[in-house]
Formats: sequence, C-alpha cells, structure tokens
Amino acid sequence: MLAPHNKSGISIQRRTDIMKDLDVDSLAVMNFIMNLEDHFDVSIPLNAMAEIRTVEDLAMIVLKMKTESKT
Amino acid sequence: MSLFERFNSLIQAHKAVSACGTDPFAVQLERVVSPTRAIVDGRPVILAGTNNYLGLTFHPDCIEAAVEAARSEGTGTTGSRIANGSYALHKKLETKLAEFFGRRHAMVFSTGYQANLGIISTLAGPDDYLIIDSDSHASIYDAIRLSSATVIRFKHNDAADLDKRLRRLTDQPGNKIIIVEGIYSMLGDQAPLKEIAKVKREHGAYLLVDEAHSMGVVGDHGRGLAEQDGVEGDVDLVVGTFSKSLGAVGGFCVSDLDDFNVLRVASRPYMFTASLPPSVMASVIAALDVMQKEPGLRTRLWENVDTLYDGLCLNGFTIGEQRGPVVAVHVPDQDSAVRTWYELLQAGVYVNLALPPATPNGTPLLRCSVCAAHSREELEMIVDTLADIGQRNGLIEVPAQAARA
Repeated sequence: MLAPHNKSGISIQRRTDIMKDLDVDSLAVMNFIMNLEDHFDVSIPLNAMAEIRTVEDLAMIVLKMKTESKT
Repeated sequence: MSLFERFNSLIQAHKAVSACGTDPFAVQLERVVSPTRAIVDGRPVILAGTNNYLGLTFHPDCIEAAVEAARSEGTGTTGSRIANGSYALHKKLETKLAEFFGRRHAMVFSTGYQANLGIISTLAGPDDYLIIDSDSHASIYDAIRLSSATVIRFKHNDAADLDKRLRRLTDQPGNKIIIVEGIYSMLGDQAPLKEIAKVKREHGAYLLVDEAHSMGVVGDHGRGLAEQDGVEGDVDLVVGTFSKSLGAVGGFCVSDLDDFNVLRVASRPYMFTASLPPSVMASVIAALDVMQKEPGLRTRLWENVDTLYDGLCLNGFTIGEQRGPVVAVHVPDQDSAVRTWYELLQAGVYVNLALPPATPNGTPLLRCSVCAAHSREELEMIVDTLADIGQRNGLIEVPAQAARA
C-alpha cells in the first residue's frame, strides 16, 4: 500500500521512516492511513498518530487496535 | 539555533506567496465603508470575502444598540464571568439564543473559536470518543488536542464511513460524540445531516453540529442545517458564532442536555478569558431580532448566491459542487492562485486566498463569500473581473469569440 508513495524505489523495511524516506506529505499520509484503516477494518486514533514514524510503529498500532477490538 | 529556525520552510513559503506584490495574509482594509465596500491602497474595492452573509455589520439597529450599550455600560467587562461577574446583557443574550433555537440552555463565548475549544475539549473525558469529520475547522482540531478523549476521524461527509467507525467501537463503554459542521467553510458543502443523524441514533451516540456558516443562512427560520434537514431533535449540541451572519464577534453553544451549565465551571476556555463587551452583546441581540424580523435578507442572500454561482459556472470555472454563500473557485496550482488573487485585488475585487494545507485535498482556492447586501451590479462586476483575470491566468478557457478577435 505504500508502493505508490515510493517513487525512488527504496526497499521498505521495518525501520523505514514513513514521512522522511518516502514521498508522502501530511495530506498523503492521512489518505494512506484512511485506506489502511479500511483494509484492516480498524480506526487508528488521531492521538496515536504523533508517535508513528516508522513502518514498524504503524504495524504495531494496527495490531494493537485489532487486538483491542476483539476483546 | 535561532528561536524561529524550525519555521524556516514556513518563512520561505510565506515569502514566496508575498512575492506577488502584497502579503495575502495581511491585507490592509484601510477603511470599510459598507458590508460590501472598502478602500484598499487608496482604491475602492468590492468585498467578496467577508462571511458577512446577511450584511448586518452596518445595520442601523445593530449600530445604535452597540453605541447605546457602550455609553451606558462602558467599553469592556475587563474580566471573566466566573471571577469578575456577568452583566445583565450576558444573561439576556443567552436567553435570546436559547429562545431562538428552542433550547433550554445557552452559553456564550468570547469567539467562535473558543466556543468549539471550550465545548468540545470539555464534553469528552479520557474514556470517551470524539468522532470528527476529516475536513473539520482548525478550532475543532485544536479542541481535540485540549481534550483527553480518544479521537477518530471519518471520511469527509461520509455517513457510511462514520457508521463503520462507530461499529468498531460498539463494545467500548465510553460516550461517543460525533462532530460535524453545517456548512464547511472552505468548499461551502453541507453535511449529509439526515444520514448522520440516523447513524447517530443507531449507535446511541451524541451529535454536535457547528452551524458557524449555516446559521442565518439555511433553515426556514435561519436556525441552520439541522432545521433545514428536520433533525434538530437529533442534535444534542449546536455551536455557532456571532462573527458571520450576525456581523459581530463571539461564539455560543445551545443544548437541551441536563446539567449543561456545569460547563460554566469546567470549561477552561470559557472560565479563563475576558467575557464579551457590552457593545458586542447589544449588537448581537439586535442582529438576532433583525434576522427574525427580516426573513427577506435570507431570500436576497440566496438570490445573490444564484447570481454569483451561475455566473462563475457559465464562465467555465471549477467551483464547489454545492450551491451556497461560500463559493470556492478551484485553482490548479498555487502560483496561479496567488497571481489571480493579487490581480483581482488590484482590479477592485477582494476574495479570500486559501492555500493547502488549510484547504481540503490540497487544492488552492479563491474563496468568495456572498452577502445579502451585494447589489446585482457588484456581483456582475465580481463575475466579469474573475472571468477576465481567470482567463489570463489559465483558470478558464478563452471563449471562442474572444479567441477569434
């Protein structure tokens, strides 16, 4: 899902910084997050966004929200 | 490191925009002479970017009331209501507002921004959820930063997406408060309030509607979108402002919720700021009367909306999809937006330049707002000037006849 934002074609790793290493501005990142939320059927709280920097941070938040919604 | 170094990119962007000839974010209205006219740089200008929808800023009743209140009660309250006391006018204004909206409670704030800040930040606690439209005004975004609640955004004007997000929260015990606007300030589009109210009912959520741009503008009595869509019973809280159709400054919230008045001793943006001065409250009370006594103002506003909207459509401009007093001309890129905006001002037409990230979808906008006091000639002048300058800057195509000439 990040592929359209990876114009320079770097290899996307856990540590990849979503804003710094990829071609996304604040608007693109919000749209990307909304698509991601649809894909995984979760809502990521706006409060949690500030702490998301890397692909791993994002994955952890999605996992956390998925687990919470099941309990 | 200098204190403002972290603003370097903003400083550069601001300089680039001001290079058109003037700073679009610091326009000097030397003298405002009527709701639709001002002097800028020594030249007369038609105002088409004021939010002064009913044109009440110069209504004689409002001016007289303000002058009389200043004479009899002084220029300012010099303090907050909880510490320094409320004037009779505070109570009178709140009673008038509650009556106008048919609600039990009303609370006034010193600005519309503070009304959102004060209400939204205090309504929801740490276990609650604020579910906001993604195109919400800055005052709503700032309010959620002051709040301890969990904040979820739903896709702009998408009741199905709102429903999906509330469904994900079904098992969470906290209160869910939906926040939408009657008319969105940048594109002028209206919330699908009937659908949103239905979703609200199904999920047992609360609903707050910010009617800042819709009060006095829509609804048979001017009570806003909730009135127009027949869902006032589903709206738990209405927030609004005095700085648009009522022609002054200040904000308010009305509600039927029990214990609403606890906000007066809990909402910090209400408690720790100076209250509205007597002159402003008196002019707002007068403006509420005028608005109710002269429904013709609203009729005239919508006739004017038709003139501007149709005029711009006919000339081939890309404008906001929904007809209303906010008419947003879409511009493909920032440079042409800034240039067109500047040339319009030079030609005697003042509109608002709105640039990303303050606009939805990253589109630069020339935001026009329509006033009931605009004359037909003024509106035609706005359309003709925009068409002429828009053509030169590539916003619209050159009509076939002109191309041949």
